[in-house]
Amino acid sequence: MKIKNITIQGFRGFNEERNIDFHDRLTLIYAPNSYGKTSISEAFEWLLYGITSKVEKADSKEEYKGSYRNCHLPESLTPFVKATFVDDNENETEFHGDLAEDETIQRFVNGQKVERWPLAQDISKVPRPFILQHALKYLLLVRPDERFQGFAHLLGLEKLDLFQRNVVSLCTKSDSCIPVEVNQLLKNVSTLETRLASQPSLATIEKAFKKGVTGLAETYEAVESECRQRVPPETEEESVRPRLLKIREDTVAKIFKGRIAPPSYSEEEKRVNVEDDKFFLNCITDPFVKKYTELLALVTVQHILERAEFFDLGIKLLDKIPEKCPFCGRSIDDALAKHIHDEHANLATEKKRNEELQNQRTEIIKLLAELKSRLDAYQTRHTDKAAQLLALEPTLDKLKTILVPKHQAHFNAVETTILELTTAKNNLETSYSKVLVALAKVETSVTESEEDAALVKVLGETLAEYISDARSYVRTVTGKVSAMSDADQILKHELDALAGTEDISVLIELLEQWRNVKKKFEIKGILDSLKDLRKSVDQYVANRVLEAISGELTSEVMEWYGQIKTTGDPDVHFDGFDIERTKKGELKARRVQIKAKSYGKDLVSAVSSLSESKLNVLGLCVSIATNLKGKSTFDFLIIDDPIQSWDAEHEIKFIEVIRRLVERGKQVILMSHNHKWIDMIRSGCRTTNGLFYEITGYTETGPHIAEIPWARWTERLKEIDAIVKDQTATSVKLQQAEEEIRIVNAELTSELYFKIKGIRKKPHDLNSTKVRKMLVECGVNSNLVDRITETFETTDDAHHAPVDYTANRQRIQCYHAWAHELAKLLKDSHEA
Amino acid sequence: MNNKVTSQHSSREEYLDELLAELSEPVHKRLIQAYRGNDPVQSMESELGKILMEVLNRED
Repeated sequence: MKIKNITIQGFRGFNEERNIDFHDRLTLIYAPNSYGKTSISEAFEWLLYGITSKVEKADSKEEYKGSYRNCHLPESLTPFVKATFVDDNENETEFHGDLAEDETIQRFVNGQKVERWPLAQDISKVPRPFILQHALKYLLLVRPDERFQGFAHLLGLEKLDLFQRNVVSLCTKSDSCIPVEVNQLLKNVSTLETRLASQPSLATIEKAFKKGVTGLAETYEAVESECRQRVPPETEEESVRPRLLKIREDTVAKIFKGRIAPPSYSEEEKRVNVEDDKFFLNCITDPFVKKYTELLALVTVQHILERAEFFDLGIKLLDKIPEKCPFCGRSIDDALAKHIHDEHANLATEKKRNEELQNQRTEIIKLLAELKSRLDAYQTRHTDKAAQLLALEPTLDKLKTILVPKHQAHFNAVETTILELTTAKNNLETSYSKVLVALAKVETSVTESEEDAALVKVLGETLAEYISDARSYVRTVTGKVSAMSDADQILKHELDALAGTEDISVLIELLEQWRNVKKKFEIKGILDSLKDLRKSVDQYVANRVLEAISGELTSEVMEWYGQIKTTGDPDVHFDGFDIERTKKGELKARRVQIKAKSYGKDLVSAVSSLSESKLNVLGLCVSIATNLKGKSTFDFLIIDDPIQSWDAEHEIKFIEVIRRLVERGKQVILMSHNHKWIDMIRSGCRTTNGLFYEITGYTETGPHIAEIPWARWTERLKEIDAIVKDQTATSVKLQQAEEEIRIVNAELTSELYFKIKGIRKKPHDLNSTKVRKMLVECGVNSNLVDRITETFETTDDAHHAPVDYTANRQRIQCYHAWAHELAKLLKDSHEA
Repeated sequence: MNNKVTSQHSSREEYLDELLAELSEPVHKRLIQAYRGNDPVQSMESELGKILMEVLNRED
């Protein structure tokens, strides 16, 4: 798609609304520095992407906060940017972006609010159609990793780049992904390894252990051998460990009995706790309370049941003698009979409801029994958890003599844990007792048909309090697991040291933890293998990027670079892209190499060898090449001040590049602070017939933009004269002359209209209808009006020639003469 | 050239498929597969945690 126009209000350097129309081939905008050129390219960037690249790349986003809104825009107005885009089929779409207060963009397509632009997916995949000075600096003169990122961005490989960075992050910072339980296992095995290393008598095992996963079988054999040496020879294989345990326990018990058992919950216990919590909470939710309170109705329906019995009997008797009352013999009319039957039917419904409530009562009794049973199990599960640890309380003094002063912190942890667990357990027991009392009252109320809504309310409150206390208890318990596990290990070691059973203890632990030892090696293997994964991903990504940069990108950039390359200065030039390699020839991760050559000899890097001017040229060529690759959604290219720091030769050569871009179908919008250079482009691209704007001033209201004719109509007429006179002019030249005649006629009409009516109309907006209307208004004779209008007949309103167009010298000569006639009329009107 | 550009702008799914075809280690394959999730980083990290927990909880 191409851009037809843009309107900017209150955005960056623009305050009051300004509109700029664009030529479908080339539009030049001249402005001295700080007159709002860059605001135009930023307005486009923001409109398309919701952010400008300057803000996107800023180290501190804070510094750019509020920078989109022009500070002179009145509070009541909303900053906006809107642009009309034209697709290949000449369909126009208006993209309108309002700047919201939170600096986000509110999007509207043809006036309808949308979440994202149509083609948003395509837009995100293709290079951005902007060539910005600061972006070039970010591409080349940055750290290698940032350069890699810049190239990935340009080539549409951002997702691949992000993927690589994410994988590297995972592989280098995997510690944060290791679950607590796995970390605990690694820590335990590591402690065991340290203890093993401290036992000279077990050196054979240690040596094998150090071999890692390959020495596992050897380690186990050594463990078995050492164990055998410490038990009587006749000991059966399965009795070796119990025997060692007994030897150790007997020896250690002479010093201290008991252990600091870590009160952890197994996975199964955790699951059951969650299920019980859910069940308890269900018991205090509305459905249960409603079911219970409905039972109150059972009492009130008792008298109805008695009436129902009476009516049952009466109806049976009435069936035998329908017209008389079975009790008093009074005659019964139809109305009364109907009333009696209706009453009987209603009572039957009530009876049915009563039966349902009886069933409901049975259900509630069952539910309460289940609640009681699960509460008992739940309470036992929790209190048992800390029982062993709390049993240490009476022996704390003895424990202190073993652990303090060497392990004061661990002893303190044990003491504090016992204290906190005792408090948590007491709270739990108190709230449990309250639940039991409340539950018993509800049970009694149901079994004795004395339901009371207040009772179930109390049960609910006590249950909620109990669940809360239980959760708090679980948190206390689980929060102590690690510290108690450590303290337990320390106590064990100290006792072993005191009793001289360290080697036996290590052997027992090796046997007990053998599965964990194997798992440790497996886990370690997985974590170590992440290095290989990183390497694979690095190589894959490097290859993908290499494929993208070294082949076509290099040749395309070389081609454009060749266009701008100067010949007068030293032969130090860009020589293609590559990915840096290791000495072994492997691709280095995230290292784009920009090669350079000097008089045929390779240089280390273009970045360090090329002048700033040449680096700018190179950056520009990279942007152009990536923008021209394949079919892009965008058929336009916005180039913002490309020639800063260039020398005159580069400036001239770049004009040819612009011409080639236009010839390749790109709509080029070029901005520059260099008036002379802009004039050179207009002259160099004379036949392109673009649009030229000058930003002539800048005030609080924003830039003052004036459209300047691309070429004076007098110059154009001279050129047409030359073509018409040239008998060898090709049909292409003749077509060009015919097009020029139309432009001249539009410009003449515009000037005449301004002269006579005082209103300025843009020549490039005029078609045959508008020209006719304006000439008639100016009082031009109808004959000339008809002829001038005829010159527009070989094109449509969008100035496109029909498919079957052929240049006709005779016709063009006529058109040429008529244009001169109109020019004379304008000249005469000036003189008059 | 158009084909090349298409491959350069290939979707995440395409390059993940390509990379997976190059990997032989099942654990690595699982981690890369996890990158297809809605929150790729979180999904990959939790997959690693899951793999390690599987080793931990495996009954030999």
